[in-house]
Amino acid sequence: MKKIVFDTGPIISLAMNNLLWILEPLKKKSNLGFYITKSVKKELVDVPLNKTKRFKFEALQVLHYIENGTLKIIDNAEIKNQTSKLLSTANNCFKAFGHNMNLIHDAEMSSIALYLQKKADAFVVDEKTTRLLIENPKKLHNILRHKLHTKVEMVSKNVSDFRKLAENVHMIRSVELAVVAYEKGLLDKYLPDIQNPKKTLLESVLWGIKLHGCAVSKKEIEQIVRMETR
Amino acid sequence: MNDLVRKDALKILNEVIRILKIKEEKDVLEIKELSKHTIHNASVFQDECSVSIAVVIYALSKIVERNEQNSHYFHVLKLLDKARRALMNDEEQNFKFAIRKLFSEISKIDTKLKLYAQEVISQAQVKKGCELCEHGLSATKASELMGVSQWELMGYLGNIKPNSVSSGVVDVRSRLKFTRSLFS
Repeated sequence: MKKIVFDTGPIISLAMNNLLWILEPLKKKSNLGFYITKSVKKELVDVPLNKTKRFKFEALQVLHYIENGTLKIIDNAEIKNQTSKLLSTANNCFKAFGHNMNLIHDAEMSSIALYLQKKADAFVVDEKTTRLLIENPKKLHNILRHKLHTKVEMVSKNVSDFRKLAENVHMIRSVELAVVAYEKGLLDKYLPDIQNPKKTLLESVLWGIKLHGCAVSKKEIEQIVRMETR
Repeated sequence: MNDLVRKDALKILNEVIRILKIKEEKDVLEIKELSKHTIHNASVFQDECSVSIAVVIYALSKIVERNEQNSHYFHVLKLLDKARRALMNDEEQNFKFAIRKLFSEISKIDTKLKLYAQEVISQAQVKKGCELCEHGLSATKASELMGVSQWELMGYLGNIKPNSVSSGVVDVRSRLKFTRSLFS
């Protein structure tokens, strides 16, 4: 069975677009295991249920998919230890004003720890920071320098240590999940009776996901639409 | 408190007091510009002072923007001055107290205006959280610092300008091909 670990962002992007339901058929059709950590569950469910009035219903929808087993929560001591190690390395990769920049949160690193423990096949993560730290730390360094208008030091040894720890982590985003759902015909019930129905449907889904926080560029959306509708 | 943080916070407070003291047409623009500068220290130091200054200045910019006809900020100015004096004397507790009072005063003005459904302080927290993400912090980290849920942040994050959205080294075609292989 292939295993996929989810970060908080992709679940939120899907839920905000009423697309959380695609996880169930995607999982069943392909015999996959979907996993989240306790920290991710806390952000997805516990915080909105206990601390705010907003997003309570969305949190309940996520909880439904946890309770019916679509999303399985994994938590153990090994994940906690590995999370601390990953977190401390990741948050010592960049310095500004002689100060370590704590860019990453426990939830993201716990997901990577879970990925490593489960020897998972993919990590679904929508936000750019974790993705860039693994795939392209130089680009992240440039963003930090450009945005902070100050000298930001990249601590090469820590970056290299972190990348070594996370070197086999393959990342995808909620947009890619949505495209696969579209290709498998899961979204066909939404095909409109207008000109270019497929293109309209795909564009609407991809833009919806982007506008709810998935780090995907306009250029990438256009490329996907071109590839899928030619 | 870090000396750089304290000095920068003092500069910002001096500037906002100067802007609010005399009503001018350019006030809204000036406070908005000032608000942009507050996020740098919050990104790096992630301390209570930098974060609260960032939220207060943004919230004030919204209040001034919404309340252009009535520009009497007597209580706000008094509290800003208290916060400034506390910083000058390195009295952290007094600074925190003045900031708490400022939040409360801003909320009072906001309630009186009743122009928007979303409270100005929470709007400021979400907006600044989003800016922290633009400055390289992860979404969960930014939401933790601002004391908001990630759900609230995600809607705003979608509005980040396209050129701020970075792709990794993996192009979309390869990522999609890999995703298909997982679900085959």
